[in-house]
Amino acid sequence: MILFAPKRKTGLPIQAAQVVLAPSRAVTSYLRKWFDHRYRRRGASGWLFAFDLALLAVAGLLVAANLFFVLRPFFSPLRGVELVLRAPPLTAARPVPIEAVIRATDGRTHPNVGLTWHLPSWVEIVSAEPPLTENNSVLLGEVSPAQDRRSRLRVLIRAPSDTDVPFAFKLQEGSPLSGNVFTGSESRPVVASALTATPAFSVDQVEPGGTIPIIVKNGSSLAAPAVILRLTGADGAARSRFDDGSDVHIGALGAEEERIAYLSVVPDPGVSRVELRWELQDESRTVQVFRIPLRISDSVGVHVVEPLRSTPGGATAISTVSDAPAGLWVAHPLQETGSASHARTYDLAAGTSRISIPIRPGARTTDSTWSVIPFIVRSGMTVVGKRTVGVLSTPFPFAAAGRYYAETGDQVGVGPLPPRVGETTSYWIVWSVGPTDADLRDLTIEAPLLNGVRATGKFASDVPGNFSSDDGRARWSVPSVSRSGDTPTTFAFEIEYAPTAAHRGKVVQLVGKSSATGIEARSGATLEAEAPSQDTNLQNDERANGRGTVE
Amino acid sequence: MMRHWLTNGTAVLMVLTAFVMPTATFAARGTQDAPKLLNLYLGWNIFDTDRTALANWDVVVLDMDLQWQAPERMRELRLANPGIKLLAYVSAGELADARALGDPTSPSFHLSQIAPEEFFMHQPDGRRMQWWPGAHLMNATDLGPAMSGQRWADALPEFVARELMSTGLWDGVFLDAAYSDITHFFGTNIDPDGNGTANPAASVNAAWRSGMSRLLRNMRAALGPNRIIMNNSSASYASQVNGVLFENFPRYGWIAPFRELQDSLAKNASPKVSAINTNTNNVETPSDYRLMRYGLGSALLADAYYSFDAGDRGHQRTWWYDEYDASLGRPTGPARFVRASGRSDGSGLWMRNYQRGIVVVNSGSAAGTIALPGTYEKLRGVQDPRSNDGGLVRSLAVPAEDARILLGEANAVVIRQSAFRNGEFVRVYDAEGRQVRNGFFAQRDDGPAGATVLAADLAGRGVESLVIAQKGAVTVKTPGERTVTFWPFGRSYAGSLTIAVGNANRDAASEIIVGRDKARPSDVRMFSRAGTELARWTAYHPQFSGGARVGIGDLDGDGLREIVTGAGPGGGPHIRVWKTDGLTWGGSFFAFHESERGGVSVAVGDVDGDGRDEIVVGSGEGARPRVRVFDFRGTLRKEFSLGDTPALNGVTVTVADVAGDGRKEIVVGGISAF
Repeated sequence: MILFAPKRKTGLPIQAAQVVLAPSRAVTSYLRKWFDHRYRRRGASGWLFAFDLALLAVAGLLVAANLFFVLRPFFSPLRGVELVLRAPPLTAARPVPIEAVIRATDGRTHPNVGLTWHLPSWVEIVSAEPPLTENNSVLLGEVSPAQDRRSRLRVLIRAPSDTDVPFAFKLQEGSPLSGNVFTGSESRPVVASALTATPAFSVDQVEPGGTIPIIVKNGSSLAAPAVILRLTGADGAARSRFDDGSDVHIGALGAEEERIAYLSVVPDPGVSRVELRWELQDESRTVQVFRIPLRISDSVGVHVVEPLRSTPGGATAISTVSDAPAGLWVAHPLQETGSASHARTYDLAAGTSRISIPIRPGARTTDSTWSVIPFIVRSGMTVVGKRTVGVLSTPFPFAAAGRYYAETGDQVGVGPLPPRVGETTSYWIVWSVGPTDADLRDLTIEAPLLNGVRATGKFASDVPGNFSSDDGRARWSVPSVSRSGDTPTTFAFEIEYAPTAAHRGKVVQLVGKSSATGIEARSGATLEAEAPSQDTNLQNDERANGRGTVE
Repeated sequence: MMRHWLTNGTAVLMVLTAFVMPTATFAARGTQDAPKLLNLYLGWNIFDTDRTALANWDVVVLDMDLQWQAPERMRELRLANPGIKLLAYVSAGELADARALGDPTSPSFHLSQIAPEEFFMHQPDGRRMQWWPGAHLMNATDLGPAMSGQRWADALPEFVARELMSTGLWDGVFLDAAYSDITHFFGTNIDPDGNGTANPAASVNAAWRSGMSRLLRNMRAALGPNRIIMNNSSASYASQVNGVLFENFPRYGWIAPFRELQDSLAKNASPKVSAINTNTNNVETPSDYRLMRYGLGSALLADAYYSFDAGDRGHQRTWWYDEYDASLGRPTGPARFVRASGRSDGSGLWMRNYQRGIVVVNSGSAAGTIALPGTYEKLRGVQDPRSNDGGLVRSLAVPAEDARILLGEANAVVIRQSAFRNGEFVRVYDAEGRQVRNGFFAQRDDGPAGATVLAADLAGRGVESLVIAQKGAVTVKTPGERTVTFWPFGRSYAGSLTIAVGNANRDAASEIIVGRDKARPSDVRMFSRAGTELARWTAYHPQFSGGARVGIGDLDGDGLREIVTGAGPGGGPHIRVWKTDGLTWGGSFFAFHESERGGVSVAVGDVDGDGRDEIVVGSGEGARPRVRVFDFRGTLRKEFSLGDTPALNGVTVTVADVAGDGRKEIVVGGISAF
């Protein structure tokens, strides 16, 4: 504070008043000096000053307005509207319907009511009615006593049981930048999971090295895109592992699909009780946790005779030797079980047993293994034994055909049909292998050429290989053939036949019985098949069939 | 400033030109390969309905007045078929009365004005001579009076050069009535020297031949060495002309005129255009396929041109036949007489080999069977499917006075400049979806079965390389050069590849475009034939695991090529177009419904003959097999179905000139043959 001695009497008799007013007088004096300095020397100084003043006033107004809006709350509380949340018991990993009912409680009509959902990142909105905007908002419109509004969601929750799911929301009436707002939240617990990983059957005890089959199932109508089974604890059995590794990366699990994981229990030395814990995750979120306490038991006393082999279309049998009546749990992808699962149990008598596994006719799979786990019930306790893995070989269909016309109707043979003495007719012999479910290697197909038939040297296949014909035999050698999905792999070659007089009036064999051998790459199993001989009647050629009698 | 004006001026000029010059909206043969076709389109105008079809002929004879009546249509013909030869019809031996009655500005009228009475041939009593109604015989001899030092043999060539050739619309002249013997048609009461007495027939004919020969010499001198002179009515002047027309073949016998035709061709000046005209004797029966084949086969035996129409009162026809579309190429040997069939006059079974097929003629009076030097394919005809059933044959039964044209057996060698899977069964279609060749196994012995192979002249030096793509590696095999192998996506990638070749820059060599098939990411990379990477980009989303199928071609006809990619399985049937540096070009589109997730195969080539490459797309795995043809805008131009049963592995498409006619066909694979 600067005190100025007044240069002239102010007319204020009280010194104190003078003191009080001194600052303002100093300011005005300063301002007068400033005005003189800035404006007096200019023309229209008054106008200039007024203009500057106006600018200052506008700036001041803007600052004041900003301050006003910053400090003053935009929204006032929304009253007279309530939101009621309705939801069934929450199940994780399955779409759950949620409904918010918004109603007016004050007898008034509330215009332009909007709802914004605020949900945790592990709650995915699968669908919404009405549709939501990018920030999960929806304009409900007018809410009146006569008209409730609803927002329906189907959400997918990825959280384990007993997790509270907060359904937070904001209701707003009016424009987005102002109006009345009501925020709230309601929590509901997760009570179950549609994605489960549970033992295939109740297990109380396990022999050292025994295997617990765990069924990982997606009980939802939606596919789970990234499922992982993790072993999170193995008290007393630190070396226990899933057979596929410490974590089982199942990947995408379709709706109602199940897979089987195998947990081998290796107890620590001297330990008689163990506890195993695992959790099931989808998209890196845990949806289920599981724990199982087990006692370590003696061996179940069942010996499964190896090797175990199975071929689709062929008989599949398991031979066992059991010390006592027991059971056998069998998981085979083509097994006839009467349910969606492809695992079932069989009873074993003491001694030697042979079980035939019923296979679904015509069924195919790309799985290459199947599993057998023995178990026994002792004193009411189920004891599970060690797992035996069987090899599932690919089917190996093989066919041979003689052709003058392709299936498309194009002519591939040349020459008279029926064949004529003294003239040459060419045909194509087609060998088809598969479809197969496994890669093959060292595939060899061959057949004898009969009655003077010779290979012309023309051959065709879309798989790399070698064709040769010598010593009266035609032969295809193929180093490797990838599994062919739904279509067979074909190998074809052209032959020529010139009938002699001795053939006149007869149907003549062109190629004898064909044989195919190959090795299944994944199992090393040798696969063999045969196909019948081919004659001039060309049974497989719809257009040329029956025109085989030599003229 | 100058550059600014130049740039803008050039752009304006180009725009104006595009509007002024008519655009060729149809494609014609444009080739002189066999069969070589001649059309005697003798009428007073070119009908609207014939404008497009007429361009398909190699040589067209038009009345000389067409240059006055319809010059723009003549120009249209040349635009549609730059190789076409247009000959002006002029009678060397007669003058039609109607010529004098035409418009005074017409060439006909002008011709009538240069022919005074003295140029006509007279009987001793002074009357003009007539055989063809409405036309009178001219005095082509040197015995008649000269007018201003000229006779008919002088005036006519002068007229042709001055009045007709000077327009630039003609490639030559067709001289009708160039008889060698006039007494046969006009009788013996002929007074060529105008002395009131008929001359002896022998001397009349000798004088006529001498005069006509002089006329032809004068014609050559007036027209120059490069224009075509063709004459009708006699083969006597074969050595003086480029071609002789043998009209009404073989109505009056086969062996004699055929020998004469061969003799004429031997004597003709180049380019040789001697031709056969076979006709239905003025009866409107275009479906006399046997007669047409007989004449055509005979022309092919002689390597002559061929004309088929209704007759001398119905030459103006544009009848088209399945056999005309058989592109045989050039003859690879002489015509061979195989054996007699019926008559013993030299008629019988004849055969001649061509580059892409064979022709067999039975000029005898009895059917005959002939053994062929290999396997041949009958034409796949719609007009006479009993004769042309598309079958494969090694011997052939030919009825009397008939002929057959056969194509060489198709094989993988004809698939060039476009990739295919070695060993797969393929069928050949035109852009309309018509199967044009018998299906065959596309198997190259110089490449491994199952590999993707592509034959092309990569260096632009006339030597064909074979590009093989298999298990992640690309191998380029060129005769006389070191084999190059490179791994476009690194040695760690051993999966499938898709390939295409084309000139992606302005040098002479072609580049190799490679895509990953059924793998991620869907990279496209471009390499030189030596394996040097030139460009790379990702065609689809980095997480997309279907890969990209590739093709390359000039979609907009500007001389610069574009690269086309089609998504592999897992994505929609999405097509994208790129510049050769990887920048997007134009828009993208779905070739089939978006819901089809089996991927698509792509090929690029001109399948409709419009001078621009189209995008050919085959449907993917599990879809109904279909082929669609799009332009560069994604506008669907053509489509056809290959059946209703879903193709488990999808349909593969490639484009190649299988027929050898300069237009690409669509070669479709992925079809189960057995």
